[in-house]
Amino acid sequence: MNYLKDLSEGKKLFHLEDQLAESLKPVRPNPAFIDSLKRKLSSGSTTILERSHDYYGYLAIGLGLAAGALIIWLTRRLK
Amino acid sequence: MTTAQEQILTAITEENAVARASQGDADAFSFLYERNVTRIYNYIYYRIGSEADAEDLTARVFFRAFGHINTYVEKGVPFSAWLYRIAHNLIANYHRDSHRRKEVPLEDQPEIPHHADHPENALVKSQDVEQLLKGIRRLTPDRQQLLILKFVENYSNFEIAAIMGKSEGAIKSLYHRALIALREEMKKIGYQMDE
Repeated sequence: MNYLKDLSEGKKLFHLEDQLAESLKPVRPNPAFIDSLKRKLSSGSTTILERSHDYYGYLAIGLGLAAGALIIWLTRRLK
Repeated sequence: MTTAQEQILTAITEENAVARASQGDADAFSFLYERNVTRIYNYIYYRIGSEADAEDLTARVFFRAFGHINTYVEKGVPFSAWLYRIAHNLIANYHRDSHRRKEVPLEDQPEIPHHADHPENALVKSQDVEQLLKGIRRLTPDRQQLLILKFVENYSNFEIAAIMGKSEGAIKSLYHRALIALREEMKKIGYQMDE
């Protein structure tokens, strides 16, 4: 019975592979975009603004942890 | 193109292009760009499904790569592996930022002009393909990457292993798990697989 179940599972995966092979085809990017990006890279004149990291988020977590540690320390000292 | 230019171009190989590009060689830049731009675009496009965002992220990948080409360390893997890693990180940031933005219902999103050969934008949209892409995008990033490299780029397990920094055995195992996970995701989104 397990053998038949494995066979059926295997068939389903083969079918899925066939579907993937049929559906996932390379797409052609817009040639105008490709040329324009090449020009920009060659000239090096364009600046892309990278999104800044979430330093505020890390700062808030750090402050929270520091405050927690301080509270624990104070509580222990007062006991 | 003059004979001299042709000689320069033929002399550029995958092995020496990075070193030459880091020294400011424009032909080496062109070589690396032309060799990799379509595959990086494809990878990003299949991961996020938006043509405009795929162009934006592809541009970011190449600006970041060429801006930091001096820091590239040759490890015996294809240069594209480095580009895929940059793309992978930028896609992760993109998804993280997308979750923070207010979600707009699909039907309210503006229509973007499309190219006919994009699978999701074909004149007669195949619902099966859409469902399959939806299922793939619900997988973990490494499983998505593996399926895209295997089916869109037709890379062998050996090449995928080099790009993803894993062993060939690990890729085979990941592939099997990816197929099982995809089948489960397809069931969850109500897609009836033909037997």
